[in-house]
Amino acid sequence: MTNELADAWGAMHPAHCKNCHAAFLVPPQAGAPNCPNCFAARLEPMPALQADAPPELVIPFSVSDATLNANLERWLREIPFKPASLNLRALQKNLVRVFLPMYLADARAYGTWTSQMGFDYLVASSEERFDGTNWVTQRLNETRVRWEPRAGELTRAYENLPAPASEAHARWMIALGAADWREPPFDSLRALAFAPDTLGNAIVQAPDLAPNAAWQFARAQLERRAARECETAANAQHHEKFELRAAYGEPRWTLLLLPTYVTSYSDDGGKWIPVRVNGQSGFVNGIKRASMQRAHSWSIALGAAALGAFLLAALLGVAGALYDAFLPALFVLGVTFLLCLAAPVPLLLAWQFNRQQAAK
Amino acid sequence: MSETLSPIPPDYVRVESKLEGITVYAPAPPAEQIPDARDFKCPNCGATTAYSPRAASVTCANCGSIYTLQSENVGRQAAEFEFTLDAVKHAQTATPQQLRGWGVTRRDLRCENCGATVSVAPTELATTCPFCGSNRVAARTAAPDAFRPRVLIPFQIEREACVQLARAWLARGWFYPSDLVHAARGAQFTGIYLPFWTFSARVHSAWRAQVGREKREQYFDMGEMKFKTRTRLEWNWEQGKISLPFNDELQSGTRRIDASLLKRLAPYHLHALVTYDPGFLAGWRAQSYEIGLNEAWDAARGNMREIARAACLEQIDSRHIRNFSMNAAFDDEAWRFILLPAYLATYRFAGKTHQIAINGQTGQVAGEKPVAWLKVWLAVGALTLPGILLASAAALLGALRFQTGGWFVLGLILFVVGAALAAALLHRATRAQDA
Ligand SMILES: [Zn+2]
Ligand SMILES: [Zn+2]
Ligand SMILES: [Zn+2]
Repeated sequence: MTNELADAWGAMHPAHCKNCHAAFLVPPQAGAPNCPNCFAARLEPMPALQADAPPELVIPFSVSDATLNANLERWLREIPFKPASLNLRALQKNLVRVFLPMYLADARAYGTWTSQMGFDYLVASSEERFDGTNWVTQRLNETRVRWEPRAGELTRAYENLPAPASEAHARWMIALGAADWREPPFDSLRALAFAPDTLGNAIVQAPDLAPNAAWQFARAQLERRAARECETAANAQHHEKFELRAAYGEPRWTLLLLPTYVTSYSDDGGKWIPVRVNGQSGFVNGIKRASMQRAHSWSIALGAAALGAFLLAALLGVAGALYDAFLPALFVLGVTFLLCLAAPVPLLLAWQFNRQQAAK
Repeated sequence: MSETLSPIPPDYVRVESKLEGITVYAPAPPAEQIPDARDFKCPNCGATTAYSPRAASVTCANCGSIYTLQSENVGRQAAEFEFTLDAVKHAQTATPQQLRGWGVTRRDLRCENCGATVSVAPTELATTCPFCGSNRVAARTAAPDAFRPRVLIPFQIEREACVQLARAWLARGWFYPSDLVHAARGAQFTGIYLPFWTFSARVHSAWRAQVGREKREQYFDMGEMKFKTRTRLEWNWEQGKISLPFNDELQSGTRRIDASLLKRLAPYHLHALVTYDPGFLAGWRAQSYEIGLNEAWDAARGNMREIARAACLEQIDSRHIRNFSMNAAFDDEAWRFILLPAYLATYRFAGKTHQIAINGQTGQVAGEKPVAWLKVWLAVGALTLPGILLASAAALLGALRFQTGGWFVLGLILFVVGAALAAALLHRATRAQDA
C-alpha cells in the first residue's frame, strides 16, 4: 500500500449519525451532510473508526445523468397525490453518492460432499388429433428428471465470495435490485483498484462487521458454488440436499466499495424517506408514499363543489317552481349526486396505495 | 478449522468427473441378474430336470428332487419402463442379432450333453435336444436391456390335462361332427411361453362437436289456417373433457399365432406375474417377440384412442352429431415385456389340420373346429319348412276357393320366425368354425 493511498483514505474524516448509529467516512469538502442512512440527523465527527485500512477495490459509478433522471422519473410516475417534496427536482437536489462496503473472500476447501443429483432425460410421448375422419399423431419429447445419489471428494479454491461487511447488507442488496440478497446486484468484475480519485466526492459507509463475523456468509456462498460445481462434475443438471463436510484454508479478505445514490423525500409527517439507486445498474428503490393530506384536500374540494351544486340545484328548483321548468334543477341535482360519489375517491385511492406499498 | 470428514459410502464406485479437483462416486449398479445359461441337470442324480406346474418348481422326474426358483410374485406391481428416447431408439435400430438371447435369427447350438449341433428356430429360445433329450435354456447371455423378459406367468396347467381340456372343448356344441371328440387323442401339445407387451397410460381428451337437439315448435299453417307442431333440429357447439386411465393393456408380440385366436385365449391374470428365472423355461419352449416395442405400442395406442373416442361420444346425449373433433394427449406411458404360457397343438380331422391353443394359466381353450354343415342345413330346413308348407297349402286351397286367408298369414309368420332363427344359427355356425 502506497502512502498516497493511505493519505487519500486518511483525508476522509470519520463521522457518525446519533440517530441510527451508522458510521461514515466523509470527504473533507462535504462539510456536515445529512445522514444518508436515515436522513433524520446531520453527521457528527467522531474520533476513530474500526476500519482504518483503505479498501482494495471500488466499483465506479457508471449511470449517466440522463439514465438516472429517467429512472427516477419512471419510479415517481405511479405515485398518486405525491407529497410536496416528492418531485424530480427535489430528489436530484437531495442526491448524494454513497459507497457501501462489502467483502470478497478467497478460500480453499478440502472435504467430501454428498448430494442428490438430477439428470435430465427425454421421454417419447404423443398427442393425437381426430378431425372427424382420421387420426393424426404428433410425437412429442418430454424432459424428465431422474434423481440419483452421488458423493465425492472436493479440493478447490474459491475466489471472490461475496460476504456482508454490514448488518444492513441483506436489506441494501434487496433495495438495490437483488432477487436474492446472497447474489449482489453488482458486477464485481468491473471493480477498479482503489485509487485516491476513485471516490470522487462520495461518502463512504464504514463496515460494521468484521471478517470473522462475515465468514459464515462467505462459507455459505462457497457451499452454493461448490454445489453447482459438483453438479457440473457429476454431469447432472439439478441438485438438492447438497452437503459439504470440509476443512477450509485461511480465507483472504478484500474490502470492496459498491456505488449507490441516496436521496430522500419527506412524507406528510415530515419524516424523511430514503430512495436508493444502484450506481452501476441504475435500479431505483424506495418506499412510495402518497400524501394523505393532498388527497384530503382534493376530497374536501370535491365535497365543497358538491355542496355548491346542491345549493344551485335548490335555487333552480325554486325558480323552476315559479316558471314551471324543473329540468335544469334535475340536471344540477344529478351533478351533485356524482360529485358526492366522487368526493371520497381521492382519500380511498391514497389510502389503498399506501396500504399496498406497506404490504410490499 | 477442521471437521470430521465423512467417508464415501462403501458401496459407491468412482465415476467420471467433469471438473478438476472434484471426484464423483455413484452407487454401484445393482448386480444385474442376467440369467446365465444353466444346465438343467439334477445335481442329485444327473438326470434332466424340468419346470413342473404342479410343484411350481424345477423337479427331477428321475429321483423326485425339487429345486426352488429364485423368483418372487410381483403381480401388477412388476416394474414398468418409461418410453425413454434410448429405449425407443433401441427398439427401432436393434437388429435381431443385437437382441442377444432373445431374437437371434438363426443360430447353431451345441448340445453340451451329447455334442450334437442343433439349429434353433429363429425365435425359439428354449429347446430340447432332439437327439438326447437334454434341456438347455438357450438364453445364455441376455443383453442388459429392458428387452429381455423380466417377468412372466408360469405354467399352471399340466401338460397331461391338455388332452382332457381339448376333448371337453371339442365335445361342446351340437353342430360339429360327432366323432370330433376323438380327434383330440392325437394332438401333441407343446407348452410355449409367448411374448407379450403390456402398456399403461393416461389419456386426456377434449372434444368439440355440433350437437343437434330436437325442439318441438308451434307454427301456423297458412294452407290449413290452423296451428300445428313440428320438431326441428337445433344445432349447437358443445365441448367436453375426459381423462381415462389404461392399465396393463396386453398387446401380442408374436405373429405366429392368429390375433383373434390369442384374443380368445384371454384373459391372463397378471397378478400371477413372477420375476424371471431361467428355471421356468426348463423343459419348455419360449418365443422371443417378433412385433417390436414401437409397433406394439402403435397398435395399443390405436386401441386406447378409439376407446377414448367412444367415451367422448358417450358424453353426448344426442344421436345428432356433426363436425366432431377431439384430441388424445398421452401421459405417464409405461411398458413391459412379459412371457405368457400357452399350449399349442394341431389336430387332424377329415384330412385337414386345425390349430388349437390352451391358456397355460387358466385352461381356456380356443381354436378351429370344423362345423358339420349337413347338421346345420338340416336344422335350417326344419326351422323354415313348416311355414313354407303351411303357407303353400293355404295358398293352394285358397286357389280352390276355400276360406284359408288366416292359415296363409299364419304360415307366413311361421316362415319369418323360422328364417330368423335359421339366420341366427348360420351366423353362429360360421363363427363357431374357428371358435
Ligand atoms: Zn442516521
Ligand atoms: Zn434327480
Ligand atoms: Zn443332446
